[in-house]
Amino acid sequence: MLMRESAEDDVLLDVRDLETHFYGEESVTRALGGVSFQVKKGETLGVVGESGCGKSVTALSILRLLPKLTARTVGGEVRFHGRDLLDLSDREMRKIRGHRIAMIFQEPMTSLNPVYTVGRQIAEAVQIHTNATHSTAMAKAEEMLRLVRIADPERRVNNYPYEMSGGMRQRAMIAMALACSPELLIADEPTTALDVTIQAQILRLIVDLKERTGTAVMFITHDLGVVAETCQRVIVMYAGRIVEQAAVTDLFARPAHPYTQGLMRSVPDPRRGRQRRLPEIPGIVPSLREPIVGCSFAPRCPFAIDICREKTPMLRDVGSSHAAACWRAEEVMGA
Amino acid sequence: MGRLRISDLPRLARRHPLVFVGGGILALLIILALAAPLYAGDPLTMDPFKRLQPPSAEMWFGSDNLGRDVLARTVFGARISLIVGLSAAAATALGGVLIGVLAGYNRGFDNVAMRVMDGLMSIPTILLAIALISLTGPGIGILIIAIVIPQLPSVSRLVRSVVLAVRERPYVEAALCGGARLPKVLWRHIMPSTIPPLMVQGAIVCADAILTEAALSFLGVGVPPEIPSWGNMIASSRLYLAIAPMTIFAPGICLAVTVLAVNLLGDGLRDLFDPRSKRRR
Amino acid sequence: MVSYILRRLLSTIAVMTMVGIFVFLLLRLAPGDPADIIAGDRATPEMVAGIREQLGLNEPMPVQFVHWALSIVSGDFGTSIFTGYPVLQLISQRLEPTISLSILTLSLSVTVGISFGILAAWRTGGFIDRVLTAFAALGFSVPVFVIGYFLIYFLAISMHWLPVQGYEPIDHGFGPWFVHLILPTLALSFPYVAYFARIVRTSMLEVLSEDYMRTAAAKGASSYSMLFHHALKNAGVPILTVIGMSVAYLISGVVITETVFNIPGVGRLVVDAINNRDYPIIQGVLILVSGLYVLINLAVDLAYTLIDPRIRY
Repeated sequence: MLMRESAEDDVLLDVRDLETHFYGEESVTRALGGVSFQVKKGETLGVVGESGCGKSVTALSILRLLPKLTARTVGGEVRFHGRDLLDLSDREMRKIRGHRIAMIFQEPMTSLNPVYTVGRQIAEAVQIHTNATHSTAMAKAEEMLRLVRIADPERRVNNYPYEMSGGMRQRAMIAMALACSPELLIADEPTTALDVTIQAQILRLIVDLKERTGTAVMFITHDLGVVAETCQRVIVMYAGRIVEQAAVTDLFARPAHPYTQGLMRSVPDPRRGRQRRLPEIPGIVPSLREPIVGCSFAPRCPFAIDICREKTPMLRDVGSSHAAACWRAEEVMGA
Repeated sequence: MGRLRISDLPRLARRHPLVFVGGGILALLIILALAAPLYAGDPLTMDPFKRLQPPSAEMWFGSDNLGRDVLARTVFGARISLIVGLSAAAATALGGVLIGVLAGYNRGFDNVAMRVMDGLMSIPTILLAIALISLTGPGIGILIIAIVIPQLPSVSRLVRSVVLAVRERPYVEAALCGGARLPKVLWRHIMPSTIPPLMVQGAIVCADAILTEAALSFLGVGVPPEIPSWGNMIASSRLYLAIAPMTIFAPGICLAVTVLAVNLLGDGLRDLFDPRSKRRR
Repeated sequence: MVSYILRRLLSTIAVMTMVGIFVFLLLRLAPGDPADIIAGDRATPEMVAGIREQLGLNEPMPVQFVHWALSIVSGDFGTSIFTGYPVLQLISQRLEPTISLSILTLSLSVTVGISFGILAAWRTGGFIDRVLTAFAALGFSVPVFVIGYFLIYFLAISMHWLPVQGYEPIDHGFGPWFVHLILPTLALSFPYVAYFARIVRTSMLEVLSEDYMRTAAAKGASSYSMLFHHALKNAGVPILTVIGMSVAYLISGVVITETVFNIPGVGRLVVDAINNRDYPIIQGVLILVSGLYVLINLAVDLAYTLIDPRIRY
C-alpha cells in the first residue's frame, strides 16, 4: 500500500508487520507492535524516537540477535532481497550477518572483545565469510583501519581495545562492519556514547564511506539533528510502532504527527541562542505490558480528541511519500 | 521479616523448595538418630555366629564382619555425623565472628590475623587435621577442632568484610557519635547483617565437617574405632566389599544423603537471603 | 613484571614461614616430651637423652626453629623414625603413583568440567543445565571413598571390567598403568567435574551477556566460536583461579583415594606415618604440599597475563 509503487528491485530490505515480544517473570512486553518499512539500495534511512520506543529492538529483530530466552519475534516478515530472514536456518542467518547486513552498536567501549587485538577481530569477520588465510585477513584488517582513518594502522592493528580511545574503537567497529562490504549497515546510535567533536567525525566518516561503497545505511538515533545531516528518508517510532515516515526535507518542513513536532521542538536551534531551555514533551511513554487502547501518544498529545483515545490510528498517506499514524494529521500539518 | 505463621508454610515451601527438602530430610535424620535406642538394636553387640549376614527380616541391613547389626550401627553413626557437623558449624561461626569482628575493627590485629589465615589456607584440610590428630590421638573433641581451624579463614574473612562494609554506614557512625559503646554497637548493628551470610556459610561448614569426619574416620584418624561412625564402618568393612556390600553401602548412602540435605538447605538459604543468587546459579 | 614476581615471592616466603612455624610447633606442642614421642613407648632414658641431643631440644625454641628451618631449606627433611631412611627419599619413592593420579584427575576434571559448564551456560535452563544442577548436588555430597567403593563393586567386582585395586608403575607398560588408574581417577574426578562445571557455567553466563558477544554474533560467528573463542577466554581468569586453588583440595582427595584403591603413594605414606607416629614424614609432606600449593598459585597469577592482556604486573 504505502510507497510500494516504487520498483521492487531497488528495495533491499522490506520489513512487514514485525512484532516482537519480551517475556518477563509475569508479564509480556509488546516491544514491537507491527512495524513495516523498506530500505532501498544505497539509501540512508533514519530511525528516530525516544529510548524504549523500539528502534534497537527493530534492528536486533532484523538480524535475529535478540536474547533467545527472553525475546521472540512473533509475527511479520523481514524480506531481504525478497527472502524472509525469519525463515532462514541459524546457519543461513550467520551467512547474512556481518556479510550482507552488518551492524555497529552504541557502546564502543564494551562492544569489542577485550582479550583479542582489534586487528584479529576485524580479520575474524573476513575469515568467517571468505576463505581468506589469516595473513590476508590481517592485511585486510589493516586496510580497513586505514579506510576508517585510524592513524598508524600497521601498529594499531595489533592494539587491544583497552589501548584505544572511544572514538578509535568506534572507527574499528565500523571497519569490522564494512570489512565484508555489506549491502546494508545498521548503525544503532553509533555516536551517542562519544564526545561531541568525535561524534561529528564519526558521522562524517559514516556518510563518506556510504558514498564510497554504496552501502545502504539504517541509522538509528534519538537525535533529529543527526538525521538531518545524514539521511534521505526517516521513520519516527513511538511505543513500538511507526508513527510517521517521510523524506527528510518533508518531515522537517511539515511534520504530520504531534510526536514528531514535539521531538523537533526539543532539538536545540543554534539561531535561538542558548538561554532558553529546550521544551520537553510532557508525560511519559506508556507501558507496553498492557494492551493500549487508542493512540499510544494520546495521553501526551496536545491535539488529542475522543477518537484518539478509542481507536488506534493506522499509518496513512498524508502527502506524496509521506505517511503518518494520526487521526488529525492534516490539522497537525497545518498548525 | 515479621513473624512466621503456620499458614505461610505452603507458600514458603513453593518459593523455596530447597530449604524445605533439605531441612525436612535433616529433621528426619535428627529424629531417627535421637530415637535410635527405641527401634534399633545394640550397635556394639558382637555375634561370631552371624558374621557378614546378608540383609534379612531380623537384620535389615545384614551384619558386619564381627556380627554386629549394620542398621543399628548406621543409625547410631548418624549421631556422630550430626554432632560433629552441627558443633563444627557452631564453633566455626563463633570463632569466625570473633576473629572477623576484631579484624574489622583493629588494623593491627587485622594484618596479623589475615596473614595467619593465608598460611592456614595453604595447608590442605585433611593434612592439617591429620597433623593435629597425630598429636593427641583420635577423639571427637580434637576432631572438631581440626575441622574448624581450616574453615576459620573463609568465615572470618566473610565477617570481616561485612563489618568493614557496615561500619561505614551512617547509622553506625551516628550511633558511635551519639556516645554508644563499641561492643553494644557491634551487637546491635553489625550482628544482624552478618547472620544471614553466616547461616549460609554455616551450612557449608556443616556439610564439609560431616564429610571430613567421615574421611578422617575412614583413614583411621577420626573418631576412635570403637565408636560406630559412618567413616569407621566403611573402613572396617573395606575387605568385605565383595561379600557384604551393605556394610559399606548403608553408611555410604546415609552419608551422601545427609550431606546432600545440608547442602540443599544451604543453597536454599542463600536464595532466601539473596534472591539475585537464584538467577546466577 | 619482575618486581611483581619478586614481591609475590616475598609474600610466598612469609606464608611458607607461617606454615613452617605451624609444622615445627606440631611436634613441640604434642603433649609430653618430643623426644619421648619420637623414641616410642619402650625407649630407655638413655635413648631419650640421645634423641634430645640429636634434635637440639635442649636449646631455646627460636634457636631450634632456625636450625630446623635452615635444614629444611637446604633440603634435609630429617629421617623417618620408623624406618630410619631420609624423609625426602621415602617421599620421592612414593611420588610416581601420586603424581600420575593427580595429573589424570586434573586433566579429566578440567576437560569434562569446562565442556560441561560451557554447554550448560549455552542453553541455560535446558536439559544439560538441569543435568548439571543434579550432578553438582551429588558431586558436592558424595564423598570420594563412597563413590570409589561403588565403582569398585559395580565395575570391578560385579562386571570384572577393571582391576579392583592396586597400582602398576608406568615402566611396566602404559596399558596396565592406565587400566589401574581408571577407577581411582573417575572416583576422584567426580567432585571436581561438578565444581569446575559450576564455576565455568557462572563465569560464562556473566560473559555471554556482555556487549562484545552481541558484536561477535553480528559478525556471523558460529556458536562454537562464540563460546570457545570469544567467551571462554574472557571467563578464563576466574576459572583458572579456581583450578589453582583446587589443587590443595585435590591432595586431600588423593590421600583418601590411595587408601580406597590401595595405591602406594604419598597419601598412604602419610596415613601410615600417623599410625606409626612418624612425625618427620608428616612434617615433610606438609611442607612440600603447602609449598607446591603456593607455587601453583603463583604460576596461576602469572598465567593471567597470557589470558587477559589488560592484566599487567
